[in-house]
Amino acid sequence: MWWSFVARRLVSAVPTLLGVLTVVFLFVRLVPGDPAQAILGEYATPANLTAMRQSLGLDKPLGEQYLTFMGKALRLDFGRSFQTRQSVARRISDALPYTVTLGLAALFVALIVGVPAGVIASARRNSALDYGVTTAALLGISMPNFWFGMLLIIVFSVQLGWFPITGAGVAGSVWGAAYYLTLPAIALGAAEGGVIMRMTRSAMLETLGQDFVRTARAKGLKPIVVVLRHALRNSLIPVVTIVGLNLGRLIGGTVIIESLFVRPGIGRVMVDAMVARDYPQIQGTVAFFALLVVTINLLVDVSYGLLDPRIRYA
Amino acid sequence: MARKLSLLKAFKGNRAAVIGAVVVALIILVAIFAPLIAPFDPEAINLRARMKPPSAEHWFGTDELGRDIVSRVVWGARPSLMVGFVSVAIATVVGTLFGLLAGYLGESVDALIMRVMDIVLSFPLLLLALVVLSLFGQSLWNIMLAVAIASVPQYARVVRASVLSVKRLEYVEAVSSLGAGHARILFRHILTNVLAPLIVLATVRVAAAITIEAALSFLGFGDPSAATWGNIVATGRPYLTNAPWIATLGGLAISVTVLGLNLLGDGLRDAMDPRLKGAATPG
Repeated sequence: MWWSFVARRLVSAVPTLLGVLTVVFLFVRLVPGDPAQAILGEYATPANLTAMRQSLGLDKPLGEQYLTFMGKALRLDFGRSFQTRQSVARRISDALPYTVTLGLAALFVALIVGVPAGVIASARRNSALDYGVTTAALLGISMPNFWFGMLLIIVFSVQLGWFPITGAGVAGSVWGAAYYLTLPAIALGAAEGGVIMRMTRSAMLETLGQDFVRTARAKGLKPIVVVLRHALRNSLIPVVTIVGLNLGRLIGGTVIIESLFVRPGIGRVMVDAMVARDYPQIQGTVAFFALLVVTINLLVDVSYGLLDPRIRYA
Repeated sequence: MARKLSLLKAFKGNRAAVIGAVVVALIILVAIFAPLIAPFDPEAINLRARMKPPSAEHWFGTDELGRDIVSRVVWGARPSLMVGFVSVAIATVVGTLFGLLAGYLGESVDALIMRVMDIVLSFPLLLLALVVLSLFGQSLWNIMLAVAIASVPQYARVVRASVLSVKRLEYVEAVSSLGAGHARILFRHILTNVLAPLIVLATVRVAAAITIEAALSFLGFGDPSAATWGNIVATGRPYLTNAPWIATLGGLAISVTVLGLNLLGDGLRDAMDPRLKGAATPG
């Protein structure tokens, strides 16, 4: 049952994937005027322009261009970066570990703050504590992440000197990486933590009102056992859903946070490529991010069945 | 009439929503009366007063060209709010049309439209906006367009879901059998019933649009000629260590506005349709 659902869900992701790659293919073709001219500037010689068109594959018929592009893209081959002459995929895979660690660290921060805060707020509904936590969550959601990051830098790096202002540390040292990762992870995770807190709180309030919770209480179980063992477990599905739905935004957020803290991740590659009009690199990076989002959505969908055995896939 | 009154009552009973509405109203007033409120000309360069810390004269100090931060942030309300409202207006109209068509016509039209929406949703909003700007150039108009394009799927989904839930109801069948045409049914009878979730979504999306414009400006892809809040924060970035006040007030203005819009959106949602709880999050 579950496997056939997974199989069908996988198949349905194929047209989305092809569509994403088609949109990425169209990017460069949508540049007003001549992309080669846009890249090389107005003083480019005709010979250079022809060479650039050739290297972009723009000298061939559109249908052929499309098929070549799709064939290569499906093998994650997006050509070479103009800036570094390295392969586009190579630059992405070099930067990937930095972005993945940042994303996971931010998600970790959001979960260890958001879930307990939501549980506490729901258990003490309408108390001062509830209002305080709810307000903090709303602040976290409302502050732009780059501005919150700036405030963190001003307070913890400039004033207190506890953390470095920028950089990603030396490779191989766990503590060194954590030292450089703390502020970026908090800046990126704050909004997600707020969303998770609100979701946990409302899901918990719903579950706490149900019959089986009343039964558990009537049995004489300790309140904390009822809240954690009975209510929390049954409140996690909406939380997982919202985390999954928001991962795309979290991934987009790495672009800003990596730029602010000067971390050499994929977001950084993207911004550099944009400044240099490095189209192959832009195409490859955007395609990569989109494929990541499609994959994550797929994983979220199929994970429901594992979390809640009651869900049936017809 | 009775329904309107009870809506107003439900809204008034929600203290957070009232605070949100007041905050948003105040910010709009600041934008309208910027020339009266701002103590200085926001563009007046005074090189003798460069990067002055907050004082009685300049409450939030001056920037690297000696311009008064308070005046810049007051005037910045205009382009920032404009980005929010215009991009949401575009996305609402286009997204609603797609959603109505998909939900009402169903079958292959529905499948096609929603597949395209899925594809657009696969791109992180910020990246999509960045690409649009890199293709068509950095201007306030292109920013609004980029944010609008990236927001269309959200509207299409919400409207489509609402259409699906009302189109089989008896009253639609009734007006249809009375001889009402498709357009009349869609706009007169179905659209009025999807307004509630649409208004809630639009409110929180204004907040998202303002934040995204700020993020684009921060990354250096804003419109350099428009002094939006995001642009003001971005100018303060190189001076974080020696003049942290430059970036402070602009970010505060964004946060307060977004907070107000979120409170308002939550309140409207609870007042209009409690079933939507948690459906709309900004960003």
